[in-house]
Amino acid sequence: MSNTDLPGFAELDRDGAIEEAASKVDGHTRQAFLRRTGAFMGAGAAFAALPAGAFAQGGASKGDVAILNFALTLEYLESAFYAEALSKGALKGETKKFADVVAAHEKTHVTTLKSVLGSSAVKEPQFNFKGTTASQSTFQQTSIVLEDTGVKAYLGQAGNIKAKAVLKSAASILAIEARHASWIRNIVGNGSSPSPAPESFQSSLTMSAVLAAVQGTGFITSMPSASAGGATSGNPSVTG
Amino acid sequence: MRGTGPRTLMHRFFRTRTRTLLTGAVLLVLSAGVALLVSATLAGRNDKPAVAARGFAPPRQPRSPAKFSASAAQSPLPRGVSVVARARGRRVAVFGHPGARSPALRIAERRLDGHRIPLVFLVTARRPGWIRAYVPARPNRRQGWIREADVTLAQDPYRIRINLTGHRIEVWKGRRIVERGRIATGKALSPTPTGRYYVTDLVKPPNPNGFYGPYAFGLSAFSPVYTSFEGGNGQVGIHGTSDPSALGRNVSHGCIRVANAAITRLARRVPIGTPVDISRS
Repeated sequence: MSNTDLPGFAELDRDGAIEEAASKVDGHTRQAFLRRTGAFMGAGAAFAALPAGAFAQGGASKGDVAILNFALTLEYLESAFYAEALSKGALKGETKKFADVVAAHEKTHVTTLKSVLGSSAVKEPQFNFKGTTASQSTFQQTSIVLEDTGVKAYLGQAGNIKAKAVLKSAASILAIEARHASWIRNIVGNGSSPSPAPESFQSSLTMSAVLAAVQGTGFITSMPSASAGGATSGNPSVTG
Repeated sequence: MRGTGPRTLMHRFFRTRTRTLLTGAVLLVLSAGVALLVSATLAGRNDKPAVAARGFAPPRQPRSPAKFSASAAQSPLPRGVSVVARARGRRVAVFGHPGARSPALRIAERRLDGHRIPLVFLVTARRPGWIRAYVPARPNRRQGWIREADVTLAQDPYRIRINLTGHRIEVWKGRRIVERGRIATGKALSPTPTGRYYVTDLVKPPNPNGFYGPYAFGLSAFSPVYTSFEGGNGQVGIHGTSDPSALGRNVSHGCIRVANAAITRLARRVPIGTPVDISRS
């Protein structure tokens, strides 16, 4: 969603009534609430219920932490994919616009999840997108797969989440991932094939199925690649 | 003619009664099923999707994960890819086994004409917090355990194969050969050692047309004859040559000589840490 499509937070809440109500409910000051909401605006208001670093202090079940780290790993993957695609400069037109918007969303998802998980957050893995970001067509096809997988992954974990705040937050990201999936499908299929809305009911994937699919892509590598070069200037002393 | 006696009427009554009961039971079961499906759909329970995407198949009950590690999403290293460890500091302690109290060896980074040469190892095994690796020390093919915290790891798809008898070099990237050529090898009195080694350093001599050519790779291999050579410790290398006519012959002091064009391509392509397999055939 473009930032210009809907009014910003300040325009939506001109008289500050929502802020005041929220600060009373939470027992926070207006200033603290604004600061926190500002940090989480990108992922939707649902995340405002989760204070930064809350999960690092044992404030959530192990299962919820695991699910958020699972989500964070997928967001790392998506965020790195769009950042690399934009840096390659091969995208144009509506696809470029899509990548610009989605890259910002995914980056915000990463920032927010990391903030909420605090020290419990998994580290960003290494990625190798195997040239899929170098052309518009391979970018589009890969984007469809990533966004579809993201939607199914979030949906697959919905029933496992114990904390309501986490569930609301995951749902708010799920909705955005679904918009991304429909948008790129519409760009590629122009409303027909692939369909922007192919099913009446969205299917889901288990965590193990998603991990197997991600492993299959080879996009997440266990370590960076060693690079050549870096010769040291001098007189060799090998045996000759 | 249809019977009208009491026995016949009783039979007819019970047949009709049984058919009615069966029909009612079937309708009841169907109604209950439909009601359950509708109620489940309307309830929208989030532990089970209301209706599966195809054919109303019962959804699999999700299981709550106990933990998650990002390594679970990592792809395993493809076949033929090596792991290379680079020292974080200027010296590394090498132990006889993981968790040993005192190191069996300490290896310090070298300097060449004032320039630091990175300290690199070829990993052969991993344990939690530890790596086992070939180290650049005598005796040849020496291995030891290093704390993983002391190094950074990288993957390397290249490997070099040296055929001493055939005087051939092959450079592989994954499953394909990306470079091959003729080489000169050690003479009988100063043979090139066989076995698995790795590239430890890359030196660019000041004169690209000199004895070593434009580049010289140092290996973890050491001459079985020389313990010192030109100020070094008898380290074996792969380098260019000022005498390409010697390629295909056993003329060197133990090093492997290749054409200058080939060593230039290798210097641009092959990372430090790349395995080098030297065999007689």
